[in-house]
Formats: sequence, C-alpha cells, structure tokens
Amino acid sequence: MGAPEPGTMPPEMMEAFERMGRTTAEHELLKSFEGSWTSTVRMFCGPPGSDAQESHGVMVNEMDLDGKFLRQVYEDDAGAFSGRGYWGYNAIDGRWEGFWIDSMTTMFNLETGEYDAGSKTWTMRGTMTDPTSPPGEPRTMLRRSVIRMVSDNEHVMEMYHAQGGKPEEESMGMEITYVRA
Amino acid sequence: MKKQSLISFAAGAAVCGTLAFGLGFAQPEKSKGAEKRSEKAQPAESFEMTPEMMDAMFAEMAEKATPSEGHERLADGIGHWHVKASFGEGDMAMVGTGTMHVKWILGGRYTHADFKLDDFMGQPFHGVAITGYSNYTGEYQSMWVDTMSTHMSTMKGEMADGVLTMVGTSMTPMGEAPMKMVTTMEGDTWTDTFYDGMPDGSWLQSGTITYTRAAEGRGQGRGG
Repeated sequence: MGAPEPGTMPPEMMEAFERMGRTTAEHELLKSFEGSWTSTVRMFCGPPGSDAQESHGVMVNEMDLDGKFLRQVYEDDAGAFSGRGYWGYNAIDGRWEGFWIDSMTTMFNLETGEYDAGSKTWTMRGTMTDPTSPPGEPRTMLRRSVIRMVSDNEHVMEMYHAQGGKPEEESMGMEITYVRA
Repeated sequence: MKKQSLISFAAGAAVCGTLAFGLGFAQPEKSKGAEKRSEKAQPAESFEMTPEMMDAMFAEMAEKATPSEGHERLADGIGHWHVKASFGEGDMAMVGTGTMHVKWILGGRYTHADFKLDDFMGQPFHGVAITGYSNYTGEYQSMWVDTMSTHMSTMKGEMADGVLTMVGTSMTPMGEAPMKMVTTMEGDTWTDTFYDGMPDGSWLQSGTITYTRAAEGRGQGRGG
C-alpha cells in the first residue's frame, strides 16, 4: 500500500486531515436517535379544519462511517413507501447536514441547520424541486424541518413547505411522531 | 397512485401528499384521533383545481417519480469493482487499493456504492455514494460521505457520450472547496478524475480512481 510514510507529509497537513474527521459532542447527540422507531405520520392536505391523513411505519437509525453519520432506513407498514437518509454534523463548518431520498420522487432533499440545546430542537432548512411543477418548468420551493427531542424514547418532526419560495407563506404539510420500538 | 379527493385546497397543501413521505401514494387512512389541520399553518392564498387539473398534476407527478432513461444510464455501474485510488503527488501522494460494491436502492431510483480502501493514509477508508437522476431537472445528483470527514459532499451534473461530469463541493484540509468529477465509462473499466476549483475559476486535477469490474456481482435487479 502506498500510504505516506510517517514524516513525509507535513505535520500541519496531517493535523488538518485529522481535524476533518474528528467527531464532536454533536455526534454523541446523534446517537440518541439510534435504534428502531415506530412512526405515526399525519399529513395535512386539506383545507383548514380538515382531518389529517394518518399512516404508520418504522425508521431504523444506525451510526455509520465510524460514528460520523446517522444512517436512516424507513419502511411504511403498507409496503408502499421506502426512504433512506443520512444525517450528520459538519464539525468543520459548524452546521448540521441532512440528506433524504425516497421511493416517491427522483429528487435529492438536502438540508442544513442548527440545534437549540434549550428546547432540544433542530431546525433544518433547504430547497427542493416542487413536484407539482409544470412539465419542463421545474420550480424551487423551500422546506423546513423541525425535529424536537421529547424524551429518550420519543421525538417529533414537523415539516413545512413554502411552494412559492416565500418563507412567510409556508405551511405545515406533515408531522411525524417517532416512538422507540 | 391514490389520488387526493380534494378539488379545492391551499397552495401549500397542494403538494403535501407528494412531498417528503408522499403519502398520497401510500394509502393513508383517516386519523382516528380526528387531528385537525392547524388554522395557523395555512398559506396566504388558495386556489381552485378542477378534476382535470388534478388528473394532469398526478399523472405528471407519477411520471417524474418513475425511473427513466436517465436512471438506466447508471445501470452499467451495478456490481463489484476493484478500485485503485491516487491523489496528490510526491510527498503528498495518497494512494490505496480496495473494492466497491454498487447496488440499486429504492426501486431503481438510486445507486448505492459501498467504497472501501484497505489502507489510505494509514487507516482503513470507507465511503458511501448515492447517485440518482432527477426527472424534474434532468440533472444527475450524487451525495458522498466517508470516514475521513464529517462533511457531506454533494454534486450535480450531466452525462454526455458516456461521460458523467459533476460539480459540487468537497472538504479539504484547507476547508470546503469546489470540486469537479469526470467519470468515463469504457466497458469494464471506469475512471473518476477529480479536479479542485482554483480561485481564478480554472480546475486543477487532484487525483483519479480507477475501477475494474470484478467477475462476480453482475446482474443485480432493481429491488432493494
């Protein structure tokens, strides 16, 4: 193998590489999400006052890549929907980074955000292609996810979208409650 | 696909059944707890949609969610590969050999690559790449995470004449930096050539990864 012999790479460069991969207290926090979680998904699709639509599934979260990222695998109970995600803390830039894909679209969902220790709440923001865009005219919309740690055995995620790209016009489309299985 | 029964709903909610968990497809049932949509969580304006408009919207959404020719062009990457990686030069040279296993996930919408080098800078190296094609924008998309960095790298780009060119960012010891990756696909030998973005906008080649297809691992289906 051709790894550099000790001493051939400048020490400051070796230190920089080491720093790139160093995990932090935030990665310890990610471990709180490890395990299997049953989900209750409420979709808010109707006009004000209408009933939510509800479904259920299981999310399995595991730390991956030497504890740097939380790998997420979701399957709904109806067998009609699957999702995959990675969630991590970029210790160099000091931000949380999220990635999500699923079987109902062909687009990446990317978010970055911050954590509020007082409320044990993560706020993640990103953009995505509006899936209702007209053919050949992809439109960008805003998304915001709020993940609140209720207890060691429960967390809740709310998802908001702003279809017109204006934060003041966002609406909550979904709420998921995860309870440790 | 299960269509929503509503023909009049607010703009923000127009997409709720298709976003994130796409439960418009997932046969949701009404909440027994009669949870109500929050009055506060409504967008400022609403609009009327006719049944014909709904049909057209759902047909378009179904088409965009279905793997396409753009995904098919990723199919040759499925399987087991021998890997040789080389970055930098001279005293800064970093080289390694290992394996990569690529499989379909999420019904053929994405490829998942499990990339391992036995020894890279004195350590075992493990990375994961997820690559897809957005039917919405016509772009290829890739996400990369590995054991060397807490940074999540993403790229997007185009494929032409069997060459996939993607641009994004990567983490270097000097910080986050522009990166370009050019993938050439010639039979059972593929090459990723990496370039770092320079301050003047030019690209400087930083390394290559060469993949040689292993005998085993061909022919995986689109399950997973």
